[in-house]
Amino acid sequence: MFFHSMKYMFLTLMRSKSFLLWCFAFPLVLGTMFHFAFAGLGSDESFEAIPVAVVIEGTSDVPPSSAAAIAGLLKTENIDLSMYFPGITGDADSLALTGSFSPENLVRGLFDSLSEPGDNQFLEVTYASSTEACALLEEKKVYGIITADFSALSDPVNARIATASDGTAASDGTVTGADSTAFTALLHLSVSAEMDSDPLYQSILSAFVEQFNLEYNAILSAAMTHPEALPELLNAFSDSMNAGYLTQESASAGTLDESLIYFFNLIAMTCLYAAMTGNNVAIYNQANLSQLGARRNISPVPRLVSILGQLAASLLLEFLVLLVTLAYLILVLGVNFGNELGYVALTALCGCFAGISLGFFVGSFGQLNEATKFAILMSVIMAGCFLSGLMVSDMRIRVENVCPLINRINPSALISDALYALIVYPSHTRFFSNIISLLALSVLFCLGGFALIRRKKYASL
Amino acid sequence: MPVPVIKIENLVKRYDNLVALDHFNLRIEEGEIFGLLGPNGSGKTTTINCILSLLAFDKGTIEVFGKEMRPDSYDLKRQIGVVMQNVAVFDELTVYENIDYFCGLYIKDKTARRQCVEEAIDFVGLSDFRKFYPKKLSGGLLRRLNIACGIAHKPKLIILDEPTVAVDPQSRNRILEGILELNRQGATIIYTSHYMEEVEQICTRVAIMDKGKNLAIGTTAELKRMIKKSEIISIDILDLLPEQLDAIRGLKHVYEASFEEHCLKVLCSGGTHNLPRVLSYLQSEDISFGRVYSELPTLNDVFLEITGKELRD
Repeated sequence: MFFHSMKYMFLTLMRSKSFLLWCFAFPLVLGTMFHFAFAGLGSDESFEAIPVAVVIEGTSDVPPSSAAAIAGLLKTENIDLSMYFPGITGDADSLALTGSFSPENLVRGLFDSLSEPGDNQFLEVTYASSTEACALLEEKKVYGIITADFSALSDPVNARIATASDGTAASDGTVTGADSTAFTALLHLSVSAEMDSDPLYQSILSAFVEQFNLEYNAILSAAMTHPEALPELLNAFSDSMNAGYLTQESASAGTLDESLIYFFNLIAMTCLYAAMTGNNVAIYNQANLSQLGARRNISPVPRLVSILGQLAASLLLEFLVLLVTLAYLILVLGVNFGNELGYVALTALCGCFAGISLGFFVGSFGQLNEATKFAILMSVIMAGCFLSGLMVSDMRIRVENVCPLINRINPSALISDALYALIVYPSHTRFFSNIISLLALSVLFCLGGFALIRRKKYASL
Repeated sequence: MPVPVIKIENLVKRYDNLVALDHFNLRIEEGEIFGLLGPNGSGKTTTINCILSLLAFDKGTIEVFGKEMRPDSYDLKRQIGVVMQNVAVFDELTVYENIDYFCGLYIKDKTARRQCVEEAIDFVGLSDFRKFYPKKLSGGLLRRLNIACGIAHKPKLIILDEPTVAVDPQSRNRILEGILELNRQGATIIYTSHYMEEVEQICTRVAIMDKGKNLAIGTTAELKRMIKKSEIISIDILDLLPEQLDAIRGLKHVYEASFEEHCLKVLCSGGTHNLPRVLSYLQSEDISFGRVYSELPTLNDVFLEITGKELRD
């Protein structure tokens, strides 16, 4: 019975003019209009360096013993520190001897290189104290504060170096058996950002800091455990540092095209239009709302089986439509949804599920007629899409500042944010957070819908 | 004593303050074509919906094939076919697909189902329209499709709720013949309609209900015997004096007589020689008369006399 219901629901939808119009043609037309309306919206804009305040904390110089140990290590392994920190020059001996290997020099060298004027300028750095940085952030003169924390430098490192010096480490530069955690605390960057600044800048800064800490810790860890591999590792990271941040900047600059926000929301809207089919499934299974519902209710098929079959058919078809829409946007209109198209498809599938279950829930609720429920549903969907940025691209950010909860429960915002996260964030944490929220909402809607219409007699028809 | 197909006892259904069914009782035996008559709002459709377990009711019991009917009585539902008053089919499916869909809710086996669908299509005379979409069908064909969707699975009990509304005489005749054929094949049928002549034509037993109560039940002949009016005599006369009209009113078995527009109308209750008696009187008074009609009461007369003549919603 499940497949029987599924088959005929599929056929019915395939031949439904309203379905073809709203769920298939309309998104394509709207997407095309977006394409022409927003063409070049971001393409003429060169990437603007991100204004940040850099706060250096715990800047005591490296004690001579530590400097000597590090210098020995660098010398032994023939490491050119300038490759990793472009602002630092000089060989290991001179660094150690002249004392230019100070934490502040290290950080300044890094950030100066990233803020060199030119086409590839990544940051616009203002060095400041913690208080000054906060003031700059409040005045919106910077988008974020990057804190370079050396506070854990002195004691653990000294302790480790001292331990190593008792053995053979200090003399030949190798530090066997050392505690890597002491070194991972050598430098740690953290970022705090202004909440109402562009989340893209926030994410870029977060990504930068995350990557820096990751690579830095990896280098120090390698220095402690496998120093022989350090040059290769440094070279690899150096390439990524010299080109990586800037390359990442370029990639991010592509995503700054505001039109992408509209396309994300277009996909969200298309997903949520599936609510119409979910609504119909609910209405055409209730005897008090439709004659077809009455006819189905008097049949010997358990309602859950019948409804599940119909919902499955709806989901399958809506998902196929979404794939076609995505293919059109990507292949014909050239919209860049990033490289992780599998995850984009997953988002579409979950979005369709959310849309169908939303419609199913609304359709199951109360004894309002089909037209009224359709109107309610359209209002809910369009309001959701509006709040997630279908009409005003930064609406989601504004909502986030005023009432973040709305973004957590608005399926449209969750869908568009999932797509956004795929492009902007290097990790998938935020993406999966959105997907899980979307699935949780969908399950709630479905359970609610089933609870409302499951095996009941009606008070009136 | 055979188990009745339907047994309803003391059924009470209220819509807020309105009592739709007031201790309603009904018993339908296997093989009957049972007519359920009543004016609008009398409770016919409510009764059917309660039987089908679509409507919750306040009191009473309903048994179908000797078992209590509940929303999850799937075994019972499998034996019931319903033809709704309003056409309930999918506009996006063809005639064949519509029948196949609804039949498929009852019959899993594809081969058996295909045969049932074909038979249903032949039965309602839609063979030439199997690939048509409902919107392309006329009102009569649509009604026939609606019937085919309800009976394709060959149910033992068929409930037809005004299946001939807005249908032309040819289609209506076809539908009525079909119902008789289904009954001959063994199906018990419950039939509701406002067309008295249809009920009189096909039903073996009839119940007349109003205001949620069963007012009369029996065969059409039994029902006709229940009412006062047993014969209506109409005679064309040029002129009639008031005292002559009073004399006619005084004849045996005459309970009402009127003279309007040169037509004498005499209503009689009981008796077998009412017409000769009236004609004898006219001849005795030397009153010349023209055409003479004598009509026996119809189900419509029964219906109006039992339920009254006031307008309903």
